[in-house]
Amino acid sequence: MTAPLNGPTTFADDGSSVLQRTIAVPEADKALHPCSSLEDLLKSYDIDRTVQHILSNQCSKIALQFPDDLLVDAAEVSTIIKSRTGKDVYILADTTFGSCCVDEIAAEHALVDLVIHYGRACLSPTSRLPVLYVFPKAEIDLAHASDVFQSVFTGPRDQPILLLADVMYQHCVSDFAAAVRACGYTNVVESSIVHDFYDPRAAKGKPSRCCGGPPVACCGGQSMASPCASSVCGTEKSDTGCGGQSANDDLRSALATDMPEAIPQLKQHINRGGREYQLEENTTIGDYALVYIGPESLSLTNLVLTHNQCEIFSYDPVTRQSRNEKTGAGRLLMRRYFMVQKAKDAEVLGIVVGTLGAANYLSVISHVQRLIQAAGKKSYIIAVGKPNVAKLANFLEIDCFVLVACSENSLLDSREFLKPLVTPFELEMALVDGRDWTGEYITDLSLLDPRLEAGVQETVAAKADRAQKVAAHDGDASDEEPYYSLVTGTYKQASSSILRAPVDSTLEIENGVNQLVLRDQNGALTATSMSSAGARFLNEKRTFRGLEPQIGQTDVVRAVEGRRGIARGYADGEGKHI
Amino acid sequence: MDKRTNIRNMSVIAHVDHGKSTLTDSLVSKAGIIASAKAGDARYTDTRQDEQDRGITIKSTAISMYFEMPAGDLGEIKQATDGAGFLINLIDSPGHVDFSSEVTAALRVTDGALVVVDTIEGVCVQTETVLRQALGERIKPVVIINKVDRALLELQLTKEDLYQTFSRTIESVNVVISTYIDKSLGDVQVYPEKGTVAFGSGLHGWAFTLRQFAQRYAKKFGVDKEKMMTRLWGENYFNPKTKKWSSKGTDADGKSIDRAFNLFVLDPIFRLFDAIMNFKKDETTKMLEKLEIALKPDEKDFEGKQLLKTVMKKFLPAGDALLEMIVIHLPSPATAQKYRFDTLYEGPLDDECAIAVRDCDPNGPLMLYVSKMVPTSDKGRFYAFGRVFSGTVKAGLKVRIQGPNFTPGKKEDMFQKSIQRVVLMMGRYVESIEDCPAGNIIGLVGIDQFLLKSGTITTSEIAHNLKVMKFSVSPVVQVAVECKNANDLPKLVEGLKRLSKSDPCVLTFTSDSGEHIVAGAGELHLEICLKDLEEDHAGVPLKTGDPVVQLRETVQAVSSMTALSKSPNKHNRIFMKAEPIVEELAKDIEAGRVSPKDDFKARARILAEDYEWDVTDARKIWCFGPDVSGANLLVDTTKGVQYLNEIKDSCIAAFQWATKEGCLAEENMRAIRFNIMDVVLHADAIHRGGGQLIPTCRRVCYAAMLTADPGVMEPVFLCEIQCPEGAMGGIYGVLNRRRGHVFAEEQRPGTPLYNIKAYLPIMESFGFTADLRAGTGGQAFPQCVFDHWQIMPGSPLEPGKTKDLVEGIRKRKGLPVEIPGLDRYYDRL
Repeated sequence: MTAPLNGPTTFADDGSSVLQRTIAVPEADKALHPCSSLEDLLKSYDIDRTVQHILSNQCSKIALQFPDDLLVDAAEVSTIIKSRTGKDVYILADTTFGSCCVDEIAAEHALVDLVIHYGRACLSPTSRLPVLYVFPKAEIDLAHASDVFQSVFTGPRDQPILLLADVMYQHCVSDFAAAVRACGYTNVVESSIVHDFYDPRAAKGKPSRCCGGPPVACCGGQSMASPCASSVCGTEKSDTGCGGQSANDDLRSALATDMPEAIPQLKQHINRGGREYQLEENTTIGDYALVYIGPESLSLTNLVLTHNQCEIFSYDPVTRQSRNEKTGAGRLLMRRYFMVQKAKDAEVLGIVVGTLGAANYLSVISHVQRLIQAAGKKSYIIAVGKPNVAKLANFLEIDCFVLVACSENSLLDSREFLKPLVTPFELEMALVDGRDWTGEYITDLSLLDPRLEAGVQETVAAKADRAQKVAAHDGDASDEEPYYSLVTGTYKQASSSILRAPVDSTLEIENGVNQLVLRDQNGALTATSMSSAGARFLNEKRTFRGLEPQIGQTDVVRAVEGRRGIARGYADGEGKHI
Repeated sequence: MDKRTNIRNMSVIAHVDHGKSTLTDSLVSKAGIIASAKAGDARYTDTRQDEQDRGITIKSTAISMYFEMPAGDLGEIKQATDGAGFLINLIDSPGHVDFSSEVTAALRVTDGALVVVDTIEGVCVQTETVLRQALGERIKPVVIINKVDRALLELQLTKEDLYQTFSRTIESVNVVISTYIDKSLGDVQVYPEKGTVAFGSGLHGWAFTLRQFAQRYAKKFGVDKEKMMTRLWGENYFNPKTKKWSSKGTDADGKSIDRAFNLFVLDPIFRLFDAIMNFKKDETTKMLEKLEIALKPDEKDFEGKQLLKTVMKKFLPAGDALLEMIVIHLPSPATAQKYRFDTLYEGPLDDECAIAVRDCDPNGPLMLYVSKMVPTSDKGRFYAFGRVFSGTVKAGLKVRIQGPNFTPGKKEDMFQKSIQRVVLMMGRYVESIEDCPAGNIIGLVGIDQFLLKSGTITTSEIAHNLKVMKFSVSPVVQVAVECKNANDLPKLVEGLKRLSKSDPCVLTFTSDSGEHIVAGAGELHLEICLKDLEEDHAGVPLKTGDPVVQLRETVQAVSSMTALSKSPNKHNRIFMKAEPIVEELAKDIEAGRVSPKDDFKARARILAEDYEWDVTDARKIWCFGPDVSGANLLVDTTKGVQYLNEIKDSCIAAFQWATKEGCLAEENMRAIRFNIMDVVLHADAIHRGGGQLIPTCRRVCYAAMLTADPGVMEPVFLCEIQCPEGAMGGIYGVLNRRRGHVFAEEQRPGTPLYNIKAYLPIMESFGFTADLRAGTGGQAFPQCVFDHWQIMPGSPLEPGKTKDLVEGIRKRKGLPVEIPGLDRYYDRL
């Protein structure tokens, strides 16, 4: 870009506005502020622990991932770490997807063997790189918090209560629990963060380890009344170095166990959304009232949705206010229910890749893809980084988007979006026959994965079954039955019957279905029996068909150098500006 | 049923409580389906328990009946016939205005209508409405003036008074008919002297037309029957002394003489009533002998009303009179389809289907219109109820099922299926039949899962749809339902589907906020629907919210400035102004008189001539919205903008979105014209894609709207109330409390009753009927039907009631309570 930037006058500026732009820090993160002194810095960025970890694990290249609002400290932190460890340190910023997720792709560019993640985290397990989380620690007035707590919980003192916290308040959970117990509440369970260090390679090595045994290094297990020292959260655990890691493996495998609703067993160990806790004997999560310490954030929304059967109270240490989240949850769920209906009506779906880090994202994407195909709809995979209104509005032909992202980022309220944006769970609900809206809600990709797989198989089987019936029926049922769409309140024809190219005999349809299955298994994507949904859109709905091609009327000319530059102003070869 | 000239498809229509179902009983008993003694009490066609309990008809019910005409009378039928046996397919319809969609569905499949009018109440609101609908469908009416017994027994009218009442009623029926007459239907006014008006009492089971009396007297006077009929009505008098007819009410000496109608028709009836009700046994016996009425032994002991009923039933059996009138004067399908086919068929009027329909050809391609779904005893399954317009339908026939959104040549909303069974609808029962040729009304089994409410069934590949019905009522009152027990949700969803099927008008859907909504035409309609849903269709306990009405967002002035929005990348700008569309045009668009499907030049001419639009603007209407048919317009008023065609699709998508969810309360917009004033686009196509333009165009629509004095419109009922003078004070009081206002008030001639017409905001109408009843001591009964949209006073942007209302809706929908400000949508240059 050698040419001066003076594009169309109305739009021209020298780019200074971009430099001067202030980026709004999410309201939730206001509790954190950049550090002023070195001491502060050492403490809030847990430099000691980090350095120790690096040294003990013999990492050679380290990436530090900062969220936008902590970027100011990035240089200093990296300098310190570099000087103390003598290793190569890279700074990752401006992540492709949410800054709560570990940006593995960017980290892999530098071939690092450890990522240190600062700031808020969604705690989704990574798929390739080991990661060490360093959580911010925000101030909290424990006395006020427990006062508020008492005013909220006026019921029986033995009401089971589960304490959860935003990552930046996690450090005070056990203190808070102690304060609450001191007030006479007998049945308080506290949660801890699953891991502050996570190594996917180690996790893969021992996949069959099962939990349910005696809890290892997790929260107030055996004796609720007297929390043992090792039971608190990450900070202390990290001192044990590798020991913590093996414990994490145990916890990690807890993900594989199914829902807590199973059978009330002894001391159920539950791990959800990066938090873990142990329920008392013969209780299910539904019996508990949840108390969340932290501001309104995506983690809270996620918690509210996934635990919608529980009473949930939140306490925001900054505003010093508490709120019953249950009412909001109902409304939120209803809205999601509506989205499920929309997804059901969609004929063309776009799978928006919203993460390149969270474990299982690849298999979830492929399951989603197969599910959509099995349901006779058309799908496109779209990778646009952080999805926003403008990006997704470019795809007019797509009726509904499915966002595959970490559990916190997948719940985008799509009122501003032209087309609805649903989660894979909602899509499964919409497309698999016999899935009913029970209020259960899953955002965790690792829990979703097996469920989606089952859904795909069911749908494929149902489809083959139907095809057989069709064949038996002597070609009578060339079309699938329409279903009742709750969005429009009318019958809607199953999309496959519209999209399907005209077929002469039912035999062909049957073959078509079988081929569909086979192709799935081979993973080959040759031309399917459906015509392209995108082409159909261009053909039938769009009025603008592009410029007149004038085939045969234009002379053939030698290729010439085109325009170059950026959108704001182009420079062509002669320096003439358009 | 194979003789299509001997079929009569007819519906019974009237105002609520004028005695449709009761009269139908007479016909049903004539066909031997119910005992004659029960006729009048059984209300055979009210098949549902709640219909029996409430005493109103809710669903229309069809019965097929077979009659033999006396051979001597066949000569009077002025259309082709074939033998003396006649098949009458009768549909009894509800009278309450909330259920008038049922009437519409009934009218579509019939060719004639029996209009029932109460002697005392005369022509009422709903009488007029259904008559208008019938004429719109090119359906020929005949009239019966019902409840004559009440005029005699309760009001003790004199003969001349009664005659005047009759003639006034007939007069007003004819006024309605001549107002809405369709030329191709010919003269369909009703005349007693032609036999198209009957008089009678459904409850007592008697009725007559002048034809019957003329028959009796024709022999006596030795004149032609038809001549006799004309003499029995109107200004024809008979002087018994001179035995001369005259057209003056006085004889040569100036003494008054009796009107022929009074003398020959009313006199015997009056005398019978008098004799029986006053227990003059001798006289009664004498008269019975003279009239050749033989009583059965057990009937001889009857006295008073019971005897009167028995005697009158034998003297002038209602079944015979009505039947004759129906057979003689209502058209057969073969006759009717000749003039109905062009209004019935959507496609070209010279294709094979149109011609088959015109000729009612049983050998042509099948054309069958399903007008409604009738629940079967098998839960969740329905008979598709409809009329065979051409061809022959039979079990096992493979047909094309075309839904209302089907367009020829496309596969959307079209299914190919076999018909499992064909049945005759017999009120509470059905009877399976092998096949059924053109001209009949039947039920089909096995296609209900492909049609929601109505549709066309055909065997022809090229068939267009039979025209979709247009209802006179719209579902404007909504209520949210949820199940008490969360696990019942699947049942509720299934129930909503079934409810939607079972009623031609009700809408069920999910709102944006995820609530299940049931929308009906009025409070009573909703009440019945919810009851059905809870008890029958879903079968689970339900919670219902308060009824709500949908509002419309609009503007009241031209935008005070040109609104501007920039795209997210700041490289594109759209300049726009909003202005109101005149109410008449908005109504025309909603009624489909100005529609997006019109040829744009023809439409531009209409807009320019009728609404003073600029012709160039009118030709550049990009689209209608919301849902590509609503009463908002996006107009391109730019001059020489490059690449404009390219962004048209994006702008249309944004406009649809914006008009569907207005910025005030996410309600639909209405009557707004958005003018695109200018557009600045980036030179490179990639930077002016949908992603950049759609959000921008949506924002600029909002900005233009907010600068154009936005307002909120609420739906208003037209409410007609009939009441005695004493109750008027109460009515005014109730209406005032509910922001309603009376705009017409007139006395019904010859009665002490007043007709009041008022506008009542639907929002205020909940509980209105009960309130009115309480306020007037049960003397007033309103009929409310959605009429128009009315702008609410006050701006939603300034503190006041309207703002509170809008904020209430936002809260209900879970939106931020504050209405977003202009700065969210408007960008400075």
